[in-house]
Amino acid sequence: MKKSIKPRPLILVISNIANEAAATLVDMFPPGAAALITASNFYQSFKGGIGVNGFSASQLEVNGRRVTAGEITGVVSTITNFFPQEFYYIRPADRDYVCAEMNAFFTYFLTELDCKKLNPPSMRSFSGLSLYKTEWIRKAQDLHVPVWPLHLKNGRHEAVENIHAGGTCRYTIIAGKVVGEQPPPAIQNYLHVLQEAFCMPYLQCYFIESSDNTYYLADILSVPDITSPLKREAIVHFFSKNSLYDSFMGPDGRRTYEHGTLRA
Amino acid sequence: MILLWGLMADAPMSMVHSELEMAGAEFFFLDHKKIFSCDIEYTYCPQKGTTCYVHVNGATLNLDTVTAAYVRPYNFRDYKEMEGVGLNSPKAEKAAGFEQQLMAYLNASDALVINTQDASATNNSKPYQLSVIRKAGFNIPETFISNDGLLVRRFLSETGEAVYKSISGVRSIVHKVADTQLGFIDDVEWCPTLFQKVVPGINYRAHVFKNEIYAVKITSDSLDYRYGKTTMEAVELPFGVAEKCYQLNAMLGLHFSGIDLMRTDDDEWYCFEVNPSPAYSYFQLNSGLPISAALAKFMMDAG
Repeated sequence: MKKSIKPRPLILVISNIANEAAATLVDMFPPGAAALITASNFYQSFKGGIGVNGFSASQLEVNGRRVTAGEITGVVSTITNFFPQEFYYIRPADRDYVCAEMNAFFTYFLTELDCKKLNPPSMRSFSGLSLYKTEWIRKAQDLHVPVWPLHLKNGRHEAVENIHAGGTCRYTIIAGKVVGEQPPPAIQNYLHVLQEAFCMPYLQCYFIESSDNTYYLADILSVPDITSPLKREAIVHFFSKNSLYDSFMGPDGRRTYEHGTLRA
Repeated sequence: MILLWGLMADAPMSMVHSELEMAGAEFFFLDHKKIFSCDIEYTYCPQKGTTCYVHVNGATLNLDTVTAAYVRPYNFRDYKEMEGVGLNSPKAEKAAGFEQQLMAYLNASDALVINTQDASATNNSKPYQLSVIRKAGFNIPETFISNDGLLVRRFLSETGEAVYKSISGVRSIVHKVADTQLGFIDDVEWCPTLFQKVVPGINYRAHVFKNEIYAVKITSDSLDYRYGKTTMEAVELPFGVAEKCYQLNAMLGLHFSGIDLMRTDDDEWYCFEVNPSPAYSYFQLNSGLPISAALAKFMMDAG
């Protein structure tokens, strides 16, 4: 019987050149197993020919290593998109255009990759849902997660009267495991419920404790923050495990959620 | 209540406005030109839930009462009120905040929104949209994106006649790759570029609602019919093609779209692109199809 040869892993860390933690994260993987991709080094580190009619066979050269798109085993995106000023090597008049093209290319490229993603991209972000507050509030209400009162005027926060906050706390959950100090059971439950509902393997949530000791959700972030060593370790662990979250992409190319996979 | 948000100078907006007026529908026209004097206020509290109001020139709209919305926002940064005003000025920030908050509210609303920001955004990445088009069962032209001159040359030599166009939603005129441009192919190293095999055939444009299609056959002397001498005639699409259009519309999360199709000599149907905010007026005026009336009815039925 023919033995299948497992490809060497290649994890792409998408970031910006100023995020030193991204380079640190790359170094935490075995040598050659991860590569840093930024707008600023793109023309040197990434060469590719992508066939939309046959994506997985697309040829890439990442930091000099030749791979097919199907051989990429993971993605960590620490940014929502590229910004024109990152393309310092493009003449200023063309930067907006090049940036729009690169963002459009990466939205497609990251969506099509059939691998673990922290987080899967959406049409708004390379990583996660990038939801506006009024959007996730609706979802949290449906999930019976208490939400801290809010008043927005033209996108700006306005003071809410008669509200007395206690302490605030924030927790990160990666693939069902809370990173670092364990939260009170109520928050633990909210984190799991939110992670399942938003189909995001990485979520960072802020809670406010009221004077009657109830925890209220105040914010949700879905772009991985890799500045803390604990989180970086959790991310490396996430990619070192097999089977969990093998893919968040459904057969129609849109984000789906496989409950069985999460609970495996 | 139907919400219209856009400019009266924009033909697709003014045409549906007239239709709603003639039909006696209850609607609120939110003039995008007045964005600098508009306010949107959203409040959430655990006891009372959410409320969201738009205020403009003394009038107030409770967004909870909106059952359908047709939105064609423009770039307020191009308005004359913005001349000499910085993009980080309070004026610009307020307008951007208003726009963002309104679109986000509509995105999460139960109303029929034509179209939500998320569904419309699929047009900002052409290859993403093409992959969905393919999954809906349409043929797509062979498409290659690269920042490697060598690979582009190989694709072009194997493909024959090809065009290049933008990957993003930035409007670009479709051009054939000319021999004279082959000398500059290595410039793709600065920016990934999309190349597509030319598919010869007849252009069709389908304006698709949930259960209705208004299609035209297009004859033009130009590769990109928007920029040539063009004639149109209303046609009915074959059943199978129409079914795929409905499917595609639904897969992209769109309620109304303009789908660009090509029928080859072998009767194969290709789909190039889906426009989530189609300027249907151009096709209505050239073919006589009652698209604006259908759009108005579609929104009135949502109530």
